[in-house]
Amino acid sequence: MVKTPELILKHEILSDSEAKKVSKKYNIGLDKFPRIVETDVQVQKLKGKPGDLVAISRKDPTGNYTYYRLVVKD
Amino acid sequence: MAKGKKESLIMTSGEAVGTLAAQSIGEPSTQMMLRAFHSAGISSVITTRGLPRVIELIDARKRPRNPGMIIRIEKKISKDYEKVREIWRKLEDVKLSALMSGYDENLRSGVMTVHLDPERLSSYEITGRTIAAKLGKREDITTEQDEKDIVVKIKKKEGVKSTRTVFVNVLNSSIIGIPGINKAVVQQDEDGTFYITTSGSNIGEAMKIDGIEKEDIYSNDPFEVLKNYGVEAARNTIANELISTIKEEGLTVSYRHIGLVADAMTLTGEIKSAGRHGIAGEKASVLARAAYEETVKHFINAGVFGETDRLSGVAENILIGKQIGVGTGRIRLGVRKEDIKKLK
Repeated sequence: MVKTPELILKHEILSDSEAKKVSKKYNIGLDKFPRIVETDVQVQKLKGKPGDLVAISRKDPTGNYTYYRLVVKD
Repeated sequence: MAKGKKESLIMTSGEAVGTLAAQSIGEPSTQMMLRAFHSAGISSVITTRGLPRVIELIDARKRPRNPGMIIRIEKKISKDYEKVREIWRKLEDVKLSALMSGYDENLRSGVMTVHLDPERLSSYEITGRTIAAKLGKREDITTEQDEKDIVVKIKKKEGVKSTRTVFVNVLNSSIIGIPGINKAVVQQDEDGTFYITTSGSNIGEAMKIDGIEKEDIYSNDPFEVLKNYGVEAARNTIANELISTIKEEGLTVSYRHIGLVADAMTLTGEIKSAGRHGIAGEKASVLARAAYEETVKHFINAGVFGETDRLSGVAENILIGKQIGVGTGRIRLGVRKEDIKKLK
């Protein structure tokens, strides 16, 4: 079979203090993070609200790492 | 040694990774251009290949030329050919015109007789009655069914032309399957499990069928994936499609470059093209946009709306001859107040 990547990755909503830590680690404000819309299927599953920071556990050929996206209004 | 290797792979701060990615994809694509458009052999499911496919992905076309899906079957039944075939039957979109041997129509009286092909009916395991029932849901016609024929009568007669339109619509109405899936093929893996590849993509409808791995349907249409699985999945699809298209041509590009492009395209939570209608067209700087494409349009708009340019990007600084904020150009030197006092 043709090898296909794992499409659906683990999404997690961070608490406010965790979000602050991440934003401090990268030295940028929350509004500078990549975005994910509120109506996104994965955000709906987690019942995320605009302003939440979502941590995504990515797996790709470069390795395993965490990517962050900010939930915004559609 | 491993440590040294690892450290050599880490990017330095201020490295122009976007430019690197653009060059790294641009070079192999010129090679792809030279040897495109000739592929031989038989393939059950047609796909767009080579440079046209790369352009399609980067431009984020809403309707790819050859969409397709790979559908995995639940573990319990994945080795049972009969059950997989049952699923397959629910997938392929079969129109009335594919189930008949011919038809007679009388446009003036508004009556059409469809002659069903018993052989084709049995291969899809349906009967004339189910077809008649399916057609009966339409509001503009009435149907009658005798042994091998279905008689379609139009309800409102409004002239020959509109009657003909209705008849054509009836012949093209889908009887079984999912709209948009033109063809489905059952294939077997080396370990004996069956899976289905389709030409045409419709994840939303395919997810409703029992026996399919609902979270593991692969589609080559990023917009389909975005709608059903979210941005992260769409990002993975874009990256995977790009890298496999390039690989198919016998070329290699590091995943880092492709991943960066895919990340940039999905930065806002939606899919944006990398060209002038997407990322490049939405840069904050007027000068950078004008330097790329449609120069006059951007200058006029900037004049009309009184835009300001903060000169923080790369293109605008090259344009005015200032040092660009890339690499060592990003670093600024400063002196502390106390130290100045010491100097005196």
